[in-house]
Amino acid sequence: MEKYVKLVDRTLLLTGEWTVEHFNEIRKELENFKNFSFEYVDASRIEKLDFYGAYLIDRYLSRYSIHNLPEKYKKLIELVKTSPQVHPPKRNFIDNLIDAIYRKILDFYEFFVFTGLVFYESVRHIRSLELRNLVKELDEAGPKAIGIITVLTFLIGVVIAYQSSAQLAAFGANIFIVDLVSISITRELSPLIVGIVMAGRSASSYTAEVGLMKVSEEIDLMRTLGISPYASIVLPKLLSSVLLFPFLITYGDVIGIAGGMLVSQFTLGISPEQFLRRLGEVLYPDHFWAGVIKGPIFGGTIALIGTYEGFKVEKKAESIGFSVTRSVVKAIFSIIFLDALFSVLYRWLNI
Amino acid sequence: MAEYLIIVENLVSRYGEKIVHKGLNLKIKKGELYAIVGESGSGKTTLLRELLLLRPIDGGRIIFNGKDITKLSPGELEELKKRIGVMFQFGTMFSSLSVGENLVYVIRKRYKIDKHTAVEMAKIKLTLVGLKPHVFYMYPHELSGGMRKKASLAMAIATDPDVVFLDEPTSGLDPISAEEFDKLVRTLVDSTGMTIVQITHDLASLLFTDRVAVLSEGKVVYEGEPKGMVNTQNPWLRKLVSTLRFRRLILGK
Ligand SMILES: Nc1ncnc2c1ncn2[C@@H]1O[C@H](COP(=O)(O)OP(=O)(O)OP(=O)(O)O)[C@@H](O)[C@H]1O
Ligand SMILES: [Mg+2]
Repeated sequence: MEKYVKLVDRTLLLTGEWTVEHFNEIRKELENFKNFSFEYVDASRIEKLDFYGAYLIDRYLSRYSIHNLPEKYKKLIELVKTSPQVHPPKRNFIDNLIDAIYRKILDFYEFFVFTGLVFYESVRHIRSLELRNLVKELDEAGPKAIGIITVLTFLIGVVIAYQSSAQLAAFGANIFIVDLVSISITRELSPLIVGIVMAGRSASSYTAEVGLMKVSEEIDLMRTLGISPYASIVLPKLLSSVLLFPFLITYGDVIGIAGGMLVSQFTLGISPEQFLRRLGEVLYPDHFWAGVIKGPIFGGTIALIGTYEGFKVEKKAESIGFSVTRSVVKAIFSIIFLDALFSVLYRWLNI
Repeated sequence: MAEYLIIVENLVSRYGEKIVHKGLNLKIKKGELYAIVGESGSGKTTLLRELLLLRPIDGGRIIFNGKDITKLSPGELEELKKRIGVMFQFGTMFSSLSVGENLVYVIRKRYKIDKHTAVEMAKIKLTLVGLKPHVFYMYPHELSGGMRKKASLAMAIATDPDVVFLDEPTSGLDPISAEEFDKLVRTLVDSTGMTIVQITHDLASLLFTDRVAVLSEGKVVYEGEPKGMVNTQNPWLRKLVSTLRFRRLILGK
């Protein structure tokens, strides 16, 4: 039964509450009367009208003059008449593709500009570097990361030794386990593990921290106060990473080799004394330095990528999330890519 | 009783040791334009957050439509919230949606309205608050402060709620927009019968309001027509009344 629209003697009678709650019901009733003919629309029985009701009157009954509409509601009908025609900007596939490629290239370029600026401004504003900030960053990236690095490098040492001990035993080359474990850990695995762990830990937190400061306009505030955000935010993070990584890698070396030593004793019967003696003979300082030297490069890259992505955060809720993800993915990729570069370089230099 | 939409009785609220409201009383009638004024830090925003149930109260009662809001069932609460529109002090909107999508989202979350109508209605509301149509496709962070306020008013009234709360709607608007804003709020109250409660520091806005509550020292020290503010003893209010702005604007002297 109709509740809102009634036809009485060629008069369309509008009744009840013409509000957003009843929008669909009213519209259904109006649809029913679309093909009817009537001469007169009487709105005197409307109890309540809002923009949604007014919208329906305008869209369905604008051909008729509405009688007895209370004065205050006339304004509403006037206000809903203006539905401006605007259309979203259209884009095609090719445009989007070109745009995406262009943005990738631009991103790469901007990263190098950013790196240049960080170095330039850090040198100029080196005095504004606060020891307090540096200590805070060192604490955050160092001691708090030790736990996970211990566990991972130890396990890697164990796994390497365990996996290779069977093969070596088959050739009677038991003692070579020391060469294998120590060289692979110091040159490759410890730097890689430290790099990847820190890419996940530091890059993400740098991005989130800088990103929030960007969104809350703290970066702009710094700039207007003549404080260089690069020198005061990026530099402590960069320095702390560059300084810490060699130590973390060295630490990883020790723990990893210890893991290998432990396994060697059980699977191949090599006593710790034998292991350490052999270690002194085969692990040249070159091997150790070849690994440690990667540290500052990896650390610097992670700090720069993390903060760079932070500076690119936009004022949208999902933006920080995207940026953090991007920064971790980029950082891990960069670590592995740089590690490969080092291998090529060492090969070439015969180290 | 039914004449009053909101009754606040002996409201007490505190942040830790700090007491913000010390037994605050006010009554807001259905279909009126009600203003809340008071010093910065006097607890206006806190009051608003309590009315919206975003913050628990530490004493007293808040009665909405004859019912104590702390005693509503989840279903009743949902119904109540559907009929409330809010514009926060800094014009908060969903940052990941365009302005138009923000409005459409609110409309379609609350009512079963088809997409086409929701889009049309969003455009109508944006035009109503004085924004250009292309703002529909812009994102909140791309708007100026004033545009943002207008857009969030459009969002607050997107579903024609029964009551709309506005926290400092005209601050940061140019004088012409501010006056248009005041007139629009008046028109909304007059033509749809909605109740609008606005927190304001803008004395000129009081010219358009029906009644005003003045907050000072954790209490409402005056409630009534703006003109009646002259006849009070409260020190803060006396200071306010003696300002040049007040005398020029409200008393026309
Ligand atoms: N989250 C909080 N924690 C502690 N104290 C708070 C908090 N929020 C507000 N306050 C305090 O409560 C008091 C009232 O704050 P409120 O934001 O309600 O003021 P207001 O009247 O809206 O001021 P304004 O006109 O500046 O917007 C202030 O003294 C403030 O310091
Ligand atoms: Mg406030």
